[in-house]
Amino acid sequence: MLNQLLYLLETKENGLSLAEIGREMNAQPSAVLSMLDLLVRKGRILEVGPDNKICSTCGLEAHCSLLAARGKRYVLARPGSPQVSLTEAGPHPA
Amino acid sequence: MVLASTSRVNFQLDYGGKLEREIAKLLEAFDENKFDTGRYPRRWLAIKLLEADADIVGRVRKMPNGEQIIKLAEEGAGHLKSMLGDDVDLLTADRRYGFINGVVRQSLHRPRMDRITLTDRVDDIVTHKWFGLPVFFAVMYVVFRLVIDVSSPFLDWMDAVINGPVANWFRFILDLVSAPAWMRSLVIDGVVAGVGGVLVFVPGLLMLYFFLALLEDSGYMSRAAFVMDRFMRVVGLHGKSFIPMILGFGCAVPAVYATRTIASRRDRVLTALLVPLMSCSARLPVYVVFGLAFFGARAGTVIWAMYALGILVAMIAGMVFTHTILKPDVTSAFVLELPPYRRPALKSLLIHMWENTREFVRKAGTVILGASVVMWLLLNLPWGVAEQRDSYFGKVSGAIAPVFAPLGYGNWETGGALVTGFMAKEIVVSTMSQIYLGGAEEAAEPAAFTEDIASIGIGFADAAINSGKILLSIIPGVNLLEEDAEGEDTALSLALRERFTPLSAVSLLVFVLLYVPCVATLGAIKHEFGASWAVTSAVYQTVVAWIAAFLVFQVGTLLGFG
Repeated sequence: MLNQLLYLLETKENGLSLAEIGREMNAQPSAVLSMLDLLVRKGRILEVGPDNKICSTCGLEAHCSLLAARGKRYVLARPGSPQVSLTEAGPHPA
Repeated sequence: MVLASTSRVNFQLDYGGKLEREIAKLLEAFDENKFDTGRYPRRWLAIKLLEADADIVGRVRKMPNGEQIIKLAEEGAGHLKSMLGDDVDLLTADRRYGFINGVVRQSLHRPRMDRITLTDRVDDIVTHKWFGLPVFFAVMYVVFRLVIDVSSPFLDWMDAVINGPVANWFRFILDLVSAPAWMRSLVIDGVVAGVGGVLVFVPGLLMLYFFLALLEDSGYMSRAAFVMDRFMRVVGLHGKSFIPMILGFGCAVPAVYATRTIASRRDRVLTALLVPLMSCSARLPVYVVFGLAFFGARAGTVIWAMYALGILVAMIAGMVFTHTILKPDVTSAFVLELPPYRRPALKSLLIHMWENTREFVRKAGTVILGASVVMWLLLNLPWGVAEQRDSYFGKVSGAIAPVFAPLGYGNWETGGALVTGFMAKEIVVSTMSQIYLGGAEEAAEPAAFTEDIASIGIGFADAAINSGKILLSIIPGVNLLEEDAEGEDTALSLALRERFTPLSAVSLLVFVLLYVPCVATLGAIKHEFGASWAVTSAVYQTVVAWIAAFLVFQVGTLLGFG
């Protein structure tokens, strides 16, 4: 299942939202969430905000209105990839 | 979902050959090293150690022979990682989720879900490449027809209340205190005619804000922005700029401030220059007065045409700016989340409706009250002037009036009303009310207070019944209206019909739609972009308004509509 999920994200350059992953994997989003949490903890995937910046490096994550409104997306951790770069990460308006 | 069956079995998950071998090796090591797992199940503990679970490793480290066991577990985990290319905790989790997935597939029968939701079906039409725009204009048409038609009985009722019982109560109080003639004139001809002339439109605004809130809360407004994106790109903007423009239908001031959400300064400036061309609610009283006076049952169509014309002129102006002083920079993609359609909550609609209308009423009690008093003074100075045209206001307006003669209304009254509209567009109506009606109506026989209250209540009930009939008559095949059920002419309508033709009325509506934004909007543009852009906005809109109204009147006259 985890491999299936990683493969799915590998094919999606801009990542997927929780709802989209649930749809693709034919599973309830709540069932997929724990897998995603594990993969995020292991550094295999990254949670990004609507502006493609990484949430975990942002001090305002807990209070982010943008995130609350639009939700997170999950992308495969590819160091140096153009759409997600750790050096680009920074807070967006909370 | 249906749970097919449940059973309790002595269960042990199979983690697969390689993992199971390492687990077995570690279990053997427990025995060889005489490692007592204590209260922890042996297999569970072996798996946790292979997964390098920090909490369990810490606990085992404190147990007898724990260090040796941890060392062996680390060797086993390293071996697995070299073979399978992943950490053991990911491998075990993958096996567990795989097992859960298998159990779910075997034990749960999900009813076949229709993947295409109602929202998707509706969006197929309302955001369609070709149908989207006609649907948008059709929706706006229906909304403005509803606003005008359904609210018109209430407008008549408000007019009757303000010019009847309310004016009579003021007269009664003024008689009680033996007020001098000038004070009676100030209160009745100035305040009641000016402020009352604007307050008459409160029912229309309540209706307008109700429907705008309905469109917003139902999720349609996002679709409108999406549909307009393609349209907006023609003028070098994108759908994001349409959101402030939608706000501009309510009031241009917050709409100008809403341009802050647009990233590029060039796009912000261009949007702010186009926002005042959207018909704000302050223009609605002018449209309604002239629409009902000259076009009767077709007033809704005329008013809708004004809204559509505002959008059209904004497109043309945008194209001109894009090719001249505001050349486009890099255009970014427009990303907009389309929320699912939902049934709006009535409470939310009512709050939205009241909060916006309250602003209008507040303005009537401050800006328009002040302007009405100033207008009354200017219409009565020099003191004792017999004819209004000889007053200071009449003389200044008379000097300006020739500018408007080619537009079909070169009289001093209209010139003066348009100049005062610079303060706030609804003041055009209050000024006309003061000029045309001020002092014209003296109360007949004053009725008793209880009779006034009863007549207000009965009038309201009649208006509600008539509105209901109009609303139901929108349904095809239903006609509850009597043939002569046209709304009653207000005193202002009658006065306007003596001074305007239908063509010059349309010319005036076009001018009011397009000419200089009100002082508050110009203040907002100055605050956001500087004085030069505020001046640009005032000048270009006034020039465009004059040319458009000129074309309407002159071409219309040539075609024989005059």
